[in-house]
Amino acid sequence: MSALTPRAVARVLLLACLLPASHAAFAGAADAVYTPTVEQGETEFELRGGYRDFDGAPDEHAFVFDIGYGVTNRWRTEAVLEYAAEGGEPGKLEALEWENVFVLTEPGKHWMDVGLLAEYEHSFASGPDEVKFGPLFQKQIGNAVANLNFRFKREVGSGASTDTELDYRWQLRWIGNEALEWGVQGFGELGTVDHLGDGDWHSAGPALFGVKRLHGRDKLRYNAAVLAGLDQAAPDAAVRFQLEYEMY
Amino acid sequence: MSNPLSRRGGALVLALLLSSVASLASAAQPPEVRLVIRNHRFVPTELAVPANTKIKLIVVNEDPTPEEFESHELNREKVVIGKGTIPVYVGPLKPGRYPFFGDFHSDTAQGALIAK
Repeated sequence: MSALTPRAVARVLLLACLLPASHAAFAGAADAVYTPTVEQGETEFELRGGYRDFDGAPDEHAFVFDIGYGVTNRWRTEAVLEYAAEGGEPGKLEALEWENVFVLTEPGKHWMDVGLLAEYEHSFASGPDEVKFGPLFQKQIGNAVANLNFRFKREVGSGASTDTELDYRWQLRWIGNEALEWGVQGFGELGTVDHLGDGDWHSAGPALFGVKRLHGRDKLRYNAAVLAGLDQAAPDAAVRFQLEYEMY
Repeated sequence: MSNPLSRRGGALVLALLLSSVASLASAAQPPEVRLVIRNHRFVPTELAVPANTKIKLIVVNEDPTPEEFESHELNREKVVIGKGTIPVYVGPLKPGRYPFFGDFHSDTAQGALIAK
């Protein structure tokens, strides 16, 4: 799969702005920041989770387990199982998701690396499924790597809303000791595409990252963050973690 | 009911995205440096490259089996198939030493870029 030109990438994003708006929804306690990188031939087993504390509202927690494979240097595909407890309800298996990361530009060649996240989520509850997609940006700034994700979400199927939601994630990681690096992460919702700013919330906080090399070429990759709400609508506090076992 | 401020805000967000993408337009080609993989070793083991300059490494695998060019310091991991060639863009690098290795044969495939 050859790298797309910047003009082609711009067309994809222009198409995104033609989608009608949608109601707001939370990003999910177990959400993660994605990078536009893929390793061909790599199989990964991932566990991630998170807990969100709300003042005056039920807390939330969620776990995600997924299995992924780097099909080419440009495409990784994953099957994702989601478990969550939200809105005061008991925890339950929520959805099965097919997730894909596409690397659109050759890493390091341009001013910024660009990728695309595309997901289809099938809910176990009665109701519509969801399609999610959005750009993944990565930029190395000196000894730090910055990432920014935008994600558009839209329901599909019977009873689907006609709205499109927009959320974002970002992180800044300082390259240092491979086993323990420090940085910051942020997550938030921007509302619906035609009502950006309505119902938005934002959180950010310190994060740590690391890689432990195991036998052969296997690796254990990890990151975690403690996030503080930056506005009244955000969770007061949240913790999240991500563990990836990568093998060949 | 639509919100004019939200439409402008949305347009601003998307304009930022599009302008970021537009900035991907290629500048002048960076200098190329050739790195060979032979008998599960990098040749040469150390490569001098100009500091503060984006570099295009041309990694040529002369072995029949795949190798992976990997470097934590350079933030790069890329597989090169047997008898294959790949580009790896790095930099601009501050002056210093940047180790890399071949993940398939890390006991022998070791090297470093020396930016100066």
